[in-house]
Amino acid sequence: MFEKLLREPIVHFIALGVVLFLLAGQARHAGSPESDKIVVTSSQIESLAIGFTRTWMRPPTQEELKGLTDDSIREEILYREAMSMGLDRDDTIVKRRMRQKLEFLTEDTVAQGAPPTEQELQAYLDRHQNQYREEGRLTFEHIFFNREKRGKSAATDAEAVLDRLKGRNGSHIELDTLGDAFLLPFNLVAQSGGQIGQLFGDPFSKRLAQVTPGQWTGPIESSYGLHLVRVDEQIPGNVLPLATVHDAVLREVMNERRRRALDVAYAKLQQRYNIVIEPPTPPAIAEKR
Amino acid sequence: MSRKNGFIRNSSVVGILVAMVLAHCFSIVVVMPLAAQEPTPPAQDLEKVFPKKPPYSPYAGRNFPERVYWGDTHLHTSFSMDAGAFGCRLGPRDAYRFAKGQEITASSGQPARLARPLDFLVVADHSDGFGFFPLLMGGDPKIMADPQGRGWYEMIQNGQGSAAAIDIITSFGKGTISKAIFPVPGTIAYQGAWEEVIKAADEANDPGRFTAFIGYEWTSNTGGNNLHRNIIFRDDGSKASLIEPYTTQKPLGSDNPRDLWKWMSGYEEKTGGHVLAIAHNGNLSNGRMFPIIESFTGRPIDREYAETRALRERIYEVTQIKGDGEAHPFLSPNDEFANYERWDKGNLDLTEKKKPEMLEFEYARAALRNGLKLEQELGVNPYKFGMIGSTDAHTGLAAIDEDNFWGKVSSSEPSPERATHPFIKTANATIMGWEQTASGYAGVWATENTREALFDAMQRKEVYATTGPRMIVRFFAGWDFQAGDANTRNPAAVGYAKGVPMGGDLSTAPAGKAPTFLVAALKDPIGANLDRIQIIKGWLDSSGQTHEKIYEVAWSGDRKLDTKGKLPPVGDTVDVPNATYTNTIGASELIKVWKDPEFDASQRAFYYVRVLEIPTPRWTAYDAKYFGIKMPPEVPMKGQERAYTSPIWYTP
Repeated sequence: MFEKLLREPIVHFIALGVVLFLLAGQARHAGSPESDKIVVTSSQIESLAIGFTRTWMRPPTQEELKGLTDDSIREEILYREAMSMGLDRDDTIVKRRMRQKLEFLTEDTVAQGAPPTEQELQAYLDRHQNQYREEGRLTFEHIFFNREKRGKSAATDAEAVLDRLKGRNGSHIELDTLGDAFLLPFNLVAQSGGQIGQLFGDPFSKRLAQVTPGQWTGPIESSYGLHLVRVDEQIPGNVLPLATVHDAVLREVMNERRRRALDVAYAKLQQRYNIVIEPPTPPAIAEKR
Repeated sequence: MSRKNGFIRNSSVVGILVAMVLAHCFSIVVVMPLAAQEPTPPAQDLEKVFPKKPPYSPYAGRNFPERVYWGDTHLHTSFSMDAGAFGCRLGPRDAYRFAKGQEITASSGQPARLARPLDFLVVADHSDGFGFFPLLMGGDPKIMADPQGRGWYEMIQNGQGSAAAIDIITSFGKGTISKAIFPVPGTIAYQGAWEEVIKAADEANDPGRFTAFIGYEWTSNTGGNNLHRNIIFRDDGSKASLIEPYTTQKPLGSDNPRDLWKWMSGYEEKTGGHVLAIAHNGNLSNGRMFPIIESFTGRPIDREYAETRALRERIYEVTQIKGDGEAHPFLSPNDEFANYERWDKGNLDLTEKKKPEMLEFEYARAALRNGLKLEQELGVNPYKFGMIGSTDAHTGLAAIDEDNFWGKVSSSEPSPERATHPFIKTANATIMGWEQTASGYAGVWATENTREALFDAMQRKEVYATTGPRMIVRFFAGWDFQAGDANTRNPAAVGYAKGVPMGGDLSTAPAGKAPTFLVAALKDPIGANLDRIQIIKGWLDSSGQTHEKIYEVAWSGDRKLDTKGKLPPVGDTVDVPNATYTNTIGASELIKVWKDPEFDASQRAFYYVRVLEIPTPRWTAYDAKYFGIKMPPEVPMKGQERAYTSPIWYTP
């Protein structure tokens, strides 16, 4: 019976664990006596009290402070024991936290570095013009022809009105009398292509952008029907000046520095390691769905 | 003082009305002999100042809202404890970026983007436990020291996040979350979270282009009965940061709306700023949202309640992901469209089942009716609210288009399983994932896209709800609209000149006249055609009974009303397996002048508009196609999306 037990792998495993535990304890006790010393400094106690005050909106009593101190000692002892037993190894949360702390250190050096100069910001803006471009804007008027109301004659009606508008030779035509009722505004001021697309549909917006300003033209089609249009003003899109987008560019430049610093730091560290990637065993690869 | 400033200061509509009244007065002045010291100027001089002829430019003097602005007044991010628990990792900044049309990575790791940006957004995170989840996820020592907090932390670490989330929400509903771990106003953690919210909104706010409101949700939920309200600030951080949000947990907060209203007054007095409150999900309040008997006292509501509610809660969120709350078939058996995206199994956490007698105090139409009755009794109508839709998404993503629906919570972001997993399940009932409603947005008729203009438009109720599509709806009432007004080139100009817009009031009917209405709807530019426009009337008869009636006003094609006044269905082009439809039926635009054929000048009444789209595929159809799955037979695969306007009230 006992012999059988001795052959059980689980028993071997436990025994090995006990031996390792004892060895680890021995190794630590053999070290310098300083590692067994725990000093709680007055400034540590003070910071415990401050933490408590922040949480409870009042300072701790003597008894509570003693409780906090005892707990911090307890935490320190258990922490050291856990570390010496290697409990931090193969723990995803600990690993992630350690990685984060190291990355924070690198990021801190970036934050403490010299702030980017205006030239640097301008150079970044020049390299990324497309991200800081203001869309072109149009001011235009239109006359609506409802196809559901007019049927097939909507297009010819629109063309007839267009001829009238073109042939008026400066005489005044009351625009309010032309075309059909419509729920969207008839004159739109300084609207971007995106805004126009949201109101009339994107194909209309694209067609409108091609129109020669200053004269009635059309009809062009929207989501609702046909429109004669007159573009009164084209405000070209342009790259915004640094003054306008200063903060956004600064954020991006700092972000870029941070990313680069992390990559550089990592590349240096990586050189010190010999990395072997074993081919995955077949069952570890997910089957294709 | 604060009341006046609240919604009159920037109100251009009021400005127009004042100008029109003044113009009228002056035309009378010219005719009448003046008893003034100054010699009377010749009439022709005055005519130059106040010409009879309209100005040369047809656009001069027009300062009414020409555009509707689209937004969501109710979006949660990871700062809401339940959103965080359900896996939301996006904060307020991400939410605003997404609403502006930028592509971001959703909490489920998938890229997400809106088809069209929104014009405004309110990030409204739960004020109770503000920022609780970031603390919990970070393993805050105070939370870890508490058995309940530690338990949740470990559940989440062990991959049981949704079980933890449900436990957190249920515990909050029951008031059993440990006081020691819940961030409360006055603590650094709480103030920090509020400052973050304010900063995110102030940074994203871009007057004229995009409005980011500061806001939060006051989540009164005692017993799991939803009495939630969203609070929206007209102001920027310089005022909002002087206070901290109102909570429901005693002793700092309260679950009674009366106390919230006091807090709102307190904010306005302290800072000179302005706030409004929007209630939602009466359908999950189990008979408490629009009470006649106050649930907190067991007594009938009094004049003070009615006055304060009418002042503080001028609009109601009538449609959202947790169901549509306009009308219920039990209350409106003759309304064939009342049975829309119904959530009526119980209260918010399904700890109590629904009983039919609760419904009257939950749905908007019934509340509008009871409001007339209460006004007769108390002299004030507590339920004189306008209507908007919003999402109440807990994902940081205001995305409720049927073909781009990102779900209620991060665990219901697009996946092959989301429709067939239970959304919430208790011993009382189960709500399945497919029951989530891809709804809604708020349409606001404002003069410009700024915090001030949008806020003021909400306060004057010139707003409407849609279940997602961005159709344009105009609704005016007056005494003199003629059939021809529907054919004028710019119906809005006639509407404002001869009547009041949605959210307005009519009173003192001229002898022998009935109210006339100019109503118009234009389909979403990239959406489905329109089926019909209906006007829904509610009134109070001389015996104190309320009634409702639905009038078919305008419709597509050459359909004819039957003898009961019902309109045949518009048809159906939905191809469910391919999740498509065609605009070969319906109309892109509907306009009509309508006169109430059964008007009684002695009876209080309200009128609001419901616009129906032709049938389109529901989000479940898009899911089935994209993921190549088969939905269970009980899952609806299409629907008729709709808009509800704010009512116009008639008071004798």
